[in-house]
Amino acid sequence: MKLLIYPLIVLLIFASCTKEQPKKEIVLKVKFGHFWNDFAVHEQDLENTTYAIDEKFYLNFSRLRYLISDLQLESEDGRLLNINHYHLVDLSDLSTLTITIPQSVETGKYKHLRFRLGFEDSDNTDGAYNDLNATSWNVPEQLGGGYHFMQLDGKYGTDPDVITDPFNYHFIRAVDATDPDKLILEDTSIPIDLGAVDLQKDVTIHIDMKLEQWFKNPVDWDLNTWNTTLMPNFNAQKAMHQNGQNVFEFSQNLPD
Amino acid sequence: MFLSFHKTFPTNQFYGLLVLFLGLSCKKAPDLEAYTPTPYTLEIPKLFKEKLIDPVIPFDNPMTQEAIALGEQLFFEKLLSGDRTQSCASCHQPRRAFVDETRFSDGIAGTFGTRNAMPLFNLAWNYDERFAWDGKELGLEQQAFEPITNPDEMHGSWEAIIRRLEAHPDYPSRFEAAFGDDKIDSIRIVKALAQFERTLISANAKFDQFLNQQVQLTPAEQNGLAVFMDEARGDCFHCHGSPNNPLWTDNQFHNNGLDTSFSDLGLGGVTGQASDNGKFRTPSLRNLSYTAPYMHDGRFATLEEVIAHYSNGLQPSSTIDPLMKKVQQGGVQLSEEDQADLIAFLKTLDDPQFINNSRFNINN
Repeated sequence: MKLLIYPLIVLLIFASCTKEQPKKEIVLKVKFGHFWNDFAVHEQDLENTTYAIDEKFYLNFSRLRYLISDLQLESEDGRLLNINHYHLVDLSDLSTLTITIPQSVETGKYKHLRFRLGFEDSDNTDGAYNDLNATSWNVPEQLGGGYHFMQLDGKYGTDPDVITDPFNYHFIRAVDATDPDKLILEDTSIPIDLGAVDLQKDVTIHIDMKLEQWFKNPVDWDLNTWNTTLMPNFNAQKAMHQNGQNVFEFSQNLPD
Repeated sequence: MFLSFHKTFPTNQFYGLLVLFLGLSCKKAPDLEAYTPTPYTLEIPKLFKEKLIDPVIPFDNPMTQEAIALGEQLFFEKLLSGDRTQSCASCHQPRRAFVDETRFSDGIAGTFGTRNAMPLFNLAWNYDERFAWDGKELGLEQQAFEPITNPDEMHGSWEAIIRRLEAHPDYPSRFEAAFGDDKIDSIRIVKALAQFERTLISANAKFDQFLNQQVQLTPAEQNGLAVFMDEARGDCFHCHGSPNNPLWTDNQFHNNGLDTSFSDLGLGGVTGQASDNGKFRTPSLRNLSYTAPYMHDGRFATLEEVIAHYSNGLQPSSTIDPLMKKVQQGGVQLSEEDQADLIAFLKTLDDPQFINNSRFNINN
């Protein structure tokens, strides 16, 4: 009899150990921050604070808006959790700087936190998003239509006391409109992979934009050459795409 | 038990109580079918439905047919002014897309304000609900309070206005129809006015018909649209909408390079932020042919002057919007042909059906 009981006990213990523990669910928030050389940039800095690019250019900002899309988590077993289809961040509108994910998220380790700056071509359909239309976020049809990826507007100068020349760093899908009847379009939206995240408690993930990167890495941005009317400038759009690879980083706080 | 009850409770009294009870329950019956005004659903134009998000209707002022009708009557009602000589429609005339023809409007005392009257249409699509040139009025109801008592405008007193309306043969019953009882107060007055204003929708201009594939544009109008949408020429679309934003405004605040220094702080006077000085709300480009003069202070009498300003008249200042390109050269330097074509395009945003709506001609 004893010979039978011990194996049964071992089997029971084994069964209870291998039974999958129920996953807990947490509240996930995503918060967007903005920095210039590690100094936070807030709404009150718009038109007030001067920033330097290697003491070559001095600039201030009037407006920063950008669109992110396809914010998603990928679990370690490859499942995708789509968090948000698209979201327009506006530095001057506090309500846009945080996304509270409407659905609860399972605890666990995720191997990728991803999103895209702008829309990829398949999503970049002209006039398709009524909320973005209502905020005049559109790209003209003669440039291929669709939507802006980013609007970074401000003024610059080479003398810190004379910052008067406008710049409109408007990032869109690159277009060569040399022949208006035969536009050459290139998807310049930027997929961003922020790497692994470990979500065990209610958490706020901070996605930070390092604004100085738009002007120097890898393309040193000459504001005297590229300042306004950049939307129809194919090469400028490609350069924005290159510099945009390094503008985002993230951190997470436990709990918020 | 019954015997005992019968003994202590005479039959007559019992029936008397029963009748009283039934009588009381009959009196309560009307509460079960309390009067409610007739709900009204705003008619959203096809293009707006296709391109835009829903209009803003405050939850505490749902639209009803009776309140809209009351609001319309009040909009044309001169009893709302101090000396009974002006109504809202005195400065917001339907045949001028709800503005007047002067640079500044004169109030009942003959004094003039400092801003040009703003046209009234598509107001429910101002999503941030900041009204007036400087955004000081947060909500359409709130906005309606201001001109009625402003000494430079209608200069009424709420006490006198309410007394007049209460003594009027018509208004008490109309307030009762709109709100369920005949109480008249300032809040109900502005709620009714706001409801009426939300029904002022302009969406049948030639360009709307073009987008609905009902008409064609002339070559000049087509080129004007191209100038409007070209970042290298007009670059109007960043602030003034596009075929995908048929409001033809972003309803945001910009300094569009009118002055080097500011006698009117605009949004800055409201927020207290120097960085907002000289910024004013972008007006819609609909119905421009009826709404001259232009700008917050009505400084430009014609559309030609407006376009010339953006082309070569820009003035630098600390808060000028960076979207005002080539400010050092005075502006975007449009050719004469492009300027003329741009105006031709802008006129396709005129909506004659809106200004000729017979609904508004009763008192005006």
